[in-house]
Amino acid sequence: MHRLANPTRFLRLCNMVKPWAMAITLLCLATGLYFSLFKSPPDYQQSDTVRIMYVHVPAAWMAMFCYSAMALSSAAALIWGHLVAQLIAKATAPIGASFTFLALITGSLWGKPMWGTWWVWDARLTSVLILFFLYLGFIVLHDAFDDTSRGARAASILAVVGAVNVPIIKFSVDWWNTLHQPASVVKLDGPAIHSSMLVPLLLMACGYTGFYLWMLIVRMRAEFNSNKIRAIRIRQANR
Amino acid sequence: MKRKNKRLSMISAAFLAICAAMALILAAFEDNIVFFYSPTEIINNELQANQRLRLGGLVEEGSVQRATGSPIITFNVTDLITTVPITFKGILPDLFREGQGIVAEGNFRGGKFFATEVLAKHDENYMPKEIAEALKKSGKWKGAENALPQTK
Amino acid sequence: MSQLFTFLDMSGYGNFIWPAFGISAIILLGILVHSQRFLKRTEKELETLNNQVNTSDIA
Repeated sequence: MHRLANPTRFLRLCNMVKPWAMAITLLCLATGLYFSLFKSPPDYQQSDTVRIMYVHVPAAWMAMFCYSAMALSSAAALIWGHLVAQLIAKATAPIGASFTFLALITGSLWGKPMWGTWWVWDARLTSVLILFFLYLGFIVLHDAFDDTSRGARAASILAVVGAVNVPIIKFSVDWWNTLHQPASVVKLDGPAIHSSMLVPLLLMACGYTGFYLWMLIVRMRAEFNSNKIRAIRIRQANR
Repeated sequence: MKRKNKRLSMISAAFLAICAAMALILAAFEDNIVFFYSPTEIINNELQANQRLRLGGLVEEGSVQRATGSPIITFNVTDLITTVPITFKGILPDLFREGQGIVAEGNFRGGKFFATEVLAKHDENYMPKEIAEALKKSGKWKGAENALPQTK
Repeated sequence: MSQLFTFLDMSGYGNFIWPAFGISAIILLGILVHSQRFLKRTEKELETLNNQVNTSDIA
């Protein structure tokens, strides 16, 4: 892990991974959309609204995955002071926030016809809303200080503290009774989704993961550039 | 290197402390986090009159009644131990049917629940109509008996 | 034509399903555009800054 803390080595890895991430994203999203909209059957209870699952569930998974990535790299940045780790967290935040927003909106569009309401304050929905605010807090804190390293440290601490929310989201549907149904795919006795519906779900999830990687790589390059720009500006000012 | 190890253990310890604090807070507020009560809990708990609360359970088979020419719907909600009759006037969600889970909001008076809102709860099983019918035919069906495929 | 209609109608739930897919597409494309622009902007700025530094060093 520490080998990758070298920016040059990290960017070289990025260049290697980028075409693969792009290919996986485009391939999985194209086939995933085809299966979600055309090939997969309507659900026996929920009819065609089950198709919303194929954009809602991967977005929710990515919301939690991105937060975990952000919290872990924030912790690494706090402990070892690696610039790469700090920038991974910074580059992940807006992507994760977008996925969380998507999970909330598509969930609402699914809840209205099936549950009969756009929103309820149950444990699952509320904890995901808190996740969204944690992302926003991270982004705001990062820019809140004139001294960028202080902003980065404050945001990293928030990310690590907020990580308690991730298991709460995951297990909220088991620990408390909620309107939201329990997990279907990640459970001990195997998925409760028929294979004809699991295929588009997993394809879309692959596509979303590839998309995150791709966007992370683009944003990492941009973050490294702005870091260099800042360094040059400071040097110019001190001259 | 020593300083970094110290930082690692400090951050881990702080994180564990936050987790523990969070667990205690959540345990203390458990009653507020619970989204609905089961019929048994509602019958056994002493409730204040006109207290708004949510009741969740399965719609009992064959209990749904609509008086002709009236928007009032009555049905029973059960947790398979206790059954509570519900009166509701309004629009039911599409997923509402006998044998399905619902959550009703309203108040509990004189052994009856008067709902102002009824929400449908669905389970974590997803399958095509044909598979559901085949499962029922082969007797491997584990879900509610009357949760028939939607005919919309 | 009627086949297209039944597809778009999604057994009456088109009003919920299409917006869900639509907003997902918009947000994902939004991230893509924002990230690419961010990269292009920093690349350009870095280039002009590097040129400035080089010319000032010569002078």
